[in-house]
Amino acid sequence: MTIAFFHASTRELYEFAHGQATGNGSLKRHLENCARCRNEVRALRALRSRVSNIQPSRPREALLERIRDRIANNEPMLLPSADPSPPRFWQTAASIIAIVLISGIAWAFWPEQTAHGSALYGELRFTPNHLVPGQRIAVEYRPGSILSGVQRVVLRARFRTVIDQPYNYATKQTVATHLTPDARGVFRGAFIVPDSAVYAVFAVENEPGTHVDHNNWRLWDLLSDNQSGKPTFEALEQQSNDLYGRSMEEALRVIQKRAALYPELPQSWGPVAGFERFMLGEPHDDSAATSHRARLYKFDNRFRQLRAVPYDEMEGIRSYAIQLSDSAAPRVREIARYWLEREEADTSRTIQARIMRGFAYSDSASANPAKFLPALDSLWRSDGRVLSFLPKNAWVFATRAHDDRAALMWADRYAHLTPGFASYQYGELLKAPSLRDSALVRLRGVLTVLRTRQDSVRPLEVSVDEQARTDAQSASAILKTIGTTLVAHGRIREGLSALDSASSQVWDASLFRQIAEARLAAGDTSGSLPLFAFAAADPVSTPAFSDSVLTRFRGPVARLRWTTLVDSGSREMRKRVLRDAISRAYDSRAKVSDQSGEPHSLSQLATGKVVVFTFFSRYCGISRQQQIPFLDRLSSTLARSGVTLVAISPEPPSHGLSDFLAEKNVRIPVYYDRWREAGRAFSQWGTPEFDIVDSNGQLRFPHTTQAKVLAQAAALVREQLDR
Amino acid sequence: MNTATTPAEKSDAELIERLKAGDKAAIDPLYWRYAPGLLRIASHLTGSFDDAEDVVQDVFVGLERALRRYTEAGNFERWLRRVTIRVALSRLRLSRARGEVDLPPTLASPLPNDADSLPDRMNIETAIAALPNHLREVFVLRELEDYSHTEIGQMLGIRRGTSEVRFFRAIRLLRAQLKKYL
Repeated sequence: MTIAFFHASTRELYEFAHGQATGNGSLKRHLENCARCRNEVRALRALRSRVSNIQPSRPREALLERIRDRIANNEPMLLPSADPSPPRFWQTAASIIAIVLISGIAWAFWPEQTAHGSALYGELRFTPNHLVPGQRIAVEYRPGSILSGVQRVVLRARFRTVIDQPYNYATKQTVATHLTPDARGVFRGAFIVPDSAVYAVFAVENEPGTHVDHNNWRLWDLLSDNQSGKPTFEALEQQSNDLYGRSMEEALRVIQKRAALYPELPQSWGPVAGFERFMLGEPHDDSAATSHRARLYKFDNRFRQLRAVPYDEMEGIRSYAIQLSDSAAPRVREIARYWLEREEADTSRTIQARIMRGFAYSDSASANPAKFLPALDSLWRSDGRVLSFLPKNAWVFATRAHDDRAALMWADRYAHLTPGFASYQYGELLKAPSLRDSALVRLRGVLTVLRTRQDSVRPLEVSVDEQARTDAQSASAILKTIGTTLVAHGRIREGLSALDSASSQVWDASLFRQIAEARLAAGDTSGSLPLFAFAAADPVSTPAFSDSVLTRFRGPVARLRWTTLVDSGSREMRKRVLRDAISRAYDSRAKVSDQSGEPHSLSQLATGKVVVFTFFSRYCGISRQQQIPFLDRLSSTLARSGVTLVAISPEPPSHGLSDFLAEKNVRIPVYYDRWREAGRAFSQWGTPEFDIVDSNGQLRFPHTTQAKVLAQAAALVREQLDR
Repeated sequence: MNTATTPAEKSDAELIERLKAGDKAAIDPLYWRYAPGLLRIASHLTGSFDDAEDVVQDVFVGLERALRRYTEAGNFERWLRRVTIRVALSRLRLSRARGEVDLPPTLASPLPNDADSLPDRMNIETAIAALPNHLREVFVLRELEDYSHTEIGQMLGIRRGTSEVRFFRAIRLLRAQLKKYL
């Protein structure tokens, strides 16, 4: 005889577990005979016990400060006063009927081209909404106003594979498909997922590429899933890699999400620790260090007992330990050493293993470049596919070893991999006399490429026109390099021609001065004067510079004519500089504190003035050498135009920092971004960082450079005066 | 260690009166007294401590005005928690409207084999945070905040039965996720 045996439902067991079941004798009898359901009851009780043990969260003083600040500013905040009404049966039924009716009417009368409301950005949908190599993905796009009225749109994509590295210097863009509208104005199309793609990110644009829907800079993305619908570890890795430099905040979220989805993998946690310290600041790091160390020890205990540990897990534990290695705990350093030894004894060929061995080998080569260069070449030929860092390192080693042939070869490889850096490398090669001609040929090659539309290197968010402006700036820099080299080596006419081309579109005081001097040296007095005037119009030039020019041109130049030329230069500066400005809001409520700990919101520091915010760090070489020693001078130069410089340290105040700043003669007030609020407001992720805000509180020049700050701030002041 | 006013010094009623009368300093003791609990509920509802801080911030910023609707007939803490829940739920609705994506409904990969040795808090909170929003809301309100399904239905604008169904789905997902742990 067969007896049907049904287990109790979760609801019955839950009610029984918590004493809510009444008079259920049959359930009691069932439990006496069913171990599985008894176990379930025990587990449900344990679940409630764990839930009831969750402790309240610790509130932060900084949060209270922000509350006080918002209250003090009389910020209106209306809290919801009532819960939503629960739907009643007739309401639900009526809603369904209404939806059916409206849908039917809409289907019948939907216009052929639809503006889809007033939203600027559109909606993009994929079916299925995950990546499977070789699979067809159907695409639906409902345009926002940015692309309303177009007949056809282009879906551009950046597909990433498991070997792609952080940032988007080496990744290429491609056209995934063209989308055409159906009768209801919904654009449709499809594409096939390339083999080996684990992550993809998309934007939509019109066919000429002049208008881009980038989903308010967020783009749209797809990840590969495993069989149960969870994004794969590799897909999340590539998602965070793609977000590097685009939004470090989002990258942190992805890294945290990956740790929540893959808590059992040690390689999930090192990036969390590193990123949290970097993004959330030292105080967060202090509070999180204990739990990170506890987790590291557990991973170490668990895996150390195993004879065979996958390479990725070994590297995961080692890199987690390295992230925590500034902790005082000697055990952390011992763990890092132990797992390094095990990695070195390992012979597996995973991508991570190959990359880490490449790094190790590259480190060895650093000590004796001449000896290791041939071996690095062999390594590149055998494993170059996953060693994208190698050409840059090898190029540096070759330069250091004065091996011109190798330097040129590695520069070519690096340029091929990251075309955006090609001009810098070839510019450096110009310093070697034997490579000068080869480098000039290559620089001209880069110019030719820049003058051709290269959609594969155009970021998804960037329109063709914006890219053309960026390319023009790059071309100008290259022409300046070429022209300077030619003039310096006696090819004056050719060099001046290159320098003239370089200066025609950009604003660069040193370039104007350089061309003016070259023209003057060549006897072209009248051609040099307007360029001297352009240079004098730039705020970087001192009154002494004007005086020196007037002295040199004593005869032909009357002071009045000079003043007119400089004024014309000033107008030209405004025109050229503001061509590259944007205008968008930033989180001006973010706070920094002064030396005494007093908090100041960014809006308080930037009321009604043009303000340059700059972030510095004493641990950054460039910041230490090229930024910090000049902060006071920059501040006083800016002050002459009515512009304020706000210098921010991501590091909290300390005696060590004060001593360092005193040693570097920094006397201007320094603000401290202890909680990284200001850093997040500007998406700052490195130093030196410069961001300029105008007198209306709009961010106009994000992530600009020290060389451009004076002219950009002056142009904004001039804009303000001209209003 | 913060140096805030000792919460025990003033009663709720006294602080509420001061706040209603425009004394903004009354916010501080109320914050130190209630923010821990409010952060807990907001972080569980939103699944994110950052979002929870924003929620609690909004609650305290809007508190003075909201108190005009508060009558002393009720328990202040319970009223404040209810307000916080509404703000957190509004925030969740807003994030959905913006197209932000929930974590996947199931965490197929169980927690580590040695989960017993990991801190309880991390396991249970990670698992709750990974629940889909619509299940997490009901679970948190029922199990952590002890609201009845009728009350939850009112807060979420759903029917009591829907709340119950979501609750048991949440329980099943948590059980599956914490299988080796419970």
